[in-house]
Amino acid sequence: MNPKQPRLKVSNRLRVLRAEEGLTQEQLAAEVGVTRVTINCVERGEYLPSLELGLLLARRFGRTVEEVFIVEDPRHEKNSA
Amino acid sequence: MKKIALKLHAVVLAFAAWGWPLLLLDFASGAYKSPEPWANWINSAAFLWVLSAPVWPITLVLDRSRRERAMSRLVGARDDDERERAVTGDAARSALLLSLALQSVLLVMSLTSVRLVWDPDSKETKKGTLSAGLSFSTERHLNPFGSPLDDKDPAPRGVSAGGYLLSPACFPVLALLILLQLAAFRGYAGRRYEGVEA
Repeated sequence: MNPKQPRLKVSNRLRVLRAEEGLTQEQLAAEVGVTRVTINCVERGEYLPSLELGLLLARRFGRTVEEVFIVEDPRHEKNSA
Repeated sequence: MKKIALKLHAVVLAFAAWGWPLLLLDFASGAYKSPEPWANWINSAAFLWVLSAPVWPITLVLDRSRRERAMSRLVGARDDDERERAVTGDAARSALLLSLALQSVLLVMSLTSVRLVWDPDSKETKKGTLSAGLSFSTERHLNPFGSPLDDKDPAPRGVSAGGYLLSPACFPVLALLILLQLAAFRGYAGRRYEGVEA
């Protein structure tokens, strides 16, 4: 297994939360100190942010990290099914 | 005093960066061999550029921030945030591996000698033999100025073509470059693994 690949699939509600507050990607990026492209990549699930950026994003929307980022563990789904 | 030196440095850098057409003008107009006063001016300016040109590489070696800015502009590397740093890191790693692989091939080429031998008296083959082999000679490979191949290794009877794929004089330069890149990568990566700010 490639050690760089995460074992868990992580999706996020960033786009929804951002839309609720009427924020553009550019504005959110400026607030958390990254580029707009990075926010776009995180929203599309192409880039898994660091713990620091994850916390910053969650704090920006007044949520916990688990409320913004959702872990989709296939093993867990199999067990619960 | 420091301000004046910095200003002078900036002027010399600008001249070294944009003054290269003077050299072409000197060559194209034949100013270097003309006794005319205008030609003398162009020739002197071109010579001044030749003198100022080494300021750039020296500055890039000594000034880390300028070097990083120049490299960022040259290769398009960006490190505004964590994702861009990760992308740049991956690209740097791939580029290093590609560069090391290429240099290793060139290193082996500098050690490889090929001879196309046609021996009419050979009992084994009728048409001749193509042979390739690795060889190492401290005199040839560790001498940066090289030494003539034929003096030390006289051609056997019937040789039609032969020699090194790459000059043996390249060996010390390539070996040094490979070692330097490995050492630099280990040095920088080691600092990161230990969590020390660069």
